[in-house]
Amino acid sequence: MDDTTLARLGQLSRIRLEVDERLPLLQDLSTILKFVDEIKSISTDKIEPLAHPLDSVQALREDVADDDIERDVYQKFAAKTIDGFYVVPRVVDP
Amino acid sequence: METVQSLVQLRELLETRQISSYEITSEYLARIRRTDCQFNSFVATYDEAALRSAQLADKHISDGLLKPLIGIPIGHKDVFCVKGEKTTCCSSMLDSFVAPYDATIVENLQNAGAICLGKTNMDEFAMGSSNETSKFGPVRNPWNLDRVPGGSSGGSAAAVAACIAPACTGSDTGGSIRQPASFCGVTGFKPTYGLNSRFGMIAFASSLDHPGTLTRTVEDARLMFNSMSGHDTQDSTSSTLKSASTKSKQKQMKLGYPSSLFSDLPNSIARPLEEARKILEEQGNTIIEIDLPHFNVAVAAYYVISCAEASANLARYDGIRYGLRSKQGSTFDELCERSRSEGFGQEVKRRILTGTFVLSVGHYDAYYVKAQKIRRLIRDDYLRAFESVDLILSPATPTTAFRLHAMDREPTEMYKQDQFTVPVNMAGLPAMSIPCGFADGLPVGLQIIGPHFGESNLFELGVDFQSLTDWHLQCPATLS
Repeated sequence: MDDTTLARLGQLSRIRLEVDERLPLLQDLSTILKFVDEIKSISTDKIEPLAHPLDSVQALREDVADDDIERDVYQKFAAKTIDGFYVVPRVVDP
Repeated sequence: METVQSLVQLRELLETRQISSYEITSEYLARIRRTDCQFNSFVATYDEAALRSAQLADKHISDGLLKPLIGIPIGHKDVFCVKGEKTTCCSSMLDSFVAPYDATIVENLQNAGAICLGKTNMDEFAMGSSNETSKFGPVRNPWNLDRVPGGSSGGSAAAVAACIAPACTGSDTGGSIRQPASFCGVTGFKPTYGLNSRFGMIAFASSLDHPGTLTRTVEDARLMFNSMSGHDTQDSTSSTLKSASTKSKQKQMKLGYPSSLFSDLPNSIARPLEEARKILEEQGNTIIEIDLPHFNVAVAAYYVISCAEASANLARYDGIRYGLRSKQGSTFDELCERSRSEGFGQEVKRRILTGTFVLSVGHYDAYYVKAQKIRRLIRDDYLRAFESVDLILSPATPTTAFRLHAMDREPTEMYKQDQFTVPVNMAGLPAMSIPCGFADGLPVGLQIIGPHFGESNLFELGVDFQSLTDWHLQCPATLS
């Protein structure tokens, strides 16, 4: 773990890393990665990954539109909306 | 009303009209007002709504409309949505978020007649083992105010220990119910993965998150589980299978004992656990030595998987649709980055960054896929063990409650606190921590683990143990 990797992780995870938090984060992430590196000591040849503890297949509902989406209710806690749209800084030049 | 009351006792008092729901609810709200300044276990109380519901419950009781939890007040961990109320996950990110619907378990408990007292404190986004990362400040352990209550369901555990709520909900991703239950001397239970719906529970690591309970007794845990659980079409991982949670006839059981897990414990903790084992043996249960060969690598694999899932789950907090929005940021990306930087605390950032690392190109196979393979090995260790035993005994925690700030600069030391609980989440097994004694004045918990859908035997053994001991009825001196 180094400054460049940390900066890249901040960019990928969309978290602005302030100058004063970079050094402690660098130290902590190095410690954490060293800790999790322990998994490399175990042989996992021919072992299939396990994503669900019961090997269950994710249930899917019928692909039918329902009408219980209440836009007004769900947009109440957005910082800024206009006419049912979320307002963000301009992303396309006029 | 007695200081210590189980749900079962309260129900009996209500059904025989010795006390009203209004009186019970008023009493618990008064206790919170009077004493919670010491513990900081509740982050919100719903006094008016709770008392209104209590009056309605009293009317239903007098009309003979009895339900399993009618008129009994409980607390909900702030990870669960309660419609119309703030649900913050104790994070600045969700400071102003008001839930538009009830979590399924909240609704199920309400349908069973339970009354919501309010929301309990927790580690931010359920990431922590000490309840020190909450935006509302730390919770203090009722047994010793200089000690942590454990986490992340620290508020729920402390509230039950301090007798200011008869029971609370909690969530357990790597031990977040059982570790605080052990530290606070209460009963902490989580069922098989998928039996309690995760709908309306703010996600941390979806394949590991288990809703559950913190109660005074195992009988109370069973009572709540029977009301909370059930298939939910709103949760795509909700199980369609049912647990046999009714009382079974099987009294003598074969108990798996992985002795290597007990060998490195300090004597003060090993002693009560050994006493507990003897009590269970004297009841006619057979102790059988078992081996869990991949136990030692479970915490490392857990942190890879849980951080990976957290980094994906918490990507939704972009400052646009809900959650904190920074006042700065002239471009879309900058607004998003600043909002997340301001909204998340240090531990949450650490885990998102770690998760992003293990999922990134060049590291995905070496970390994430590798950890998932180890997850299978861990799960299969338990499946093999359950071919020859009914339940497994284990310590719940490697220490008793530690001092506040003792692990501020030691994130991995904090992670190791969950070494006995994490493997159980990796395997999705039902488990509980029950009080089994004290070490230097602080509670010690015994963990009992069951096979998938084996809640029945788990409850049975726990009830038996609590009928022979009174550790679960002890009260902290801070209450006097």
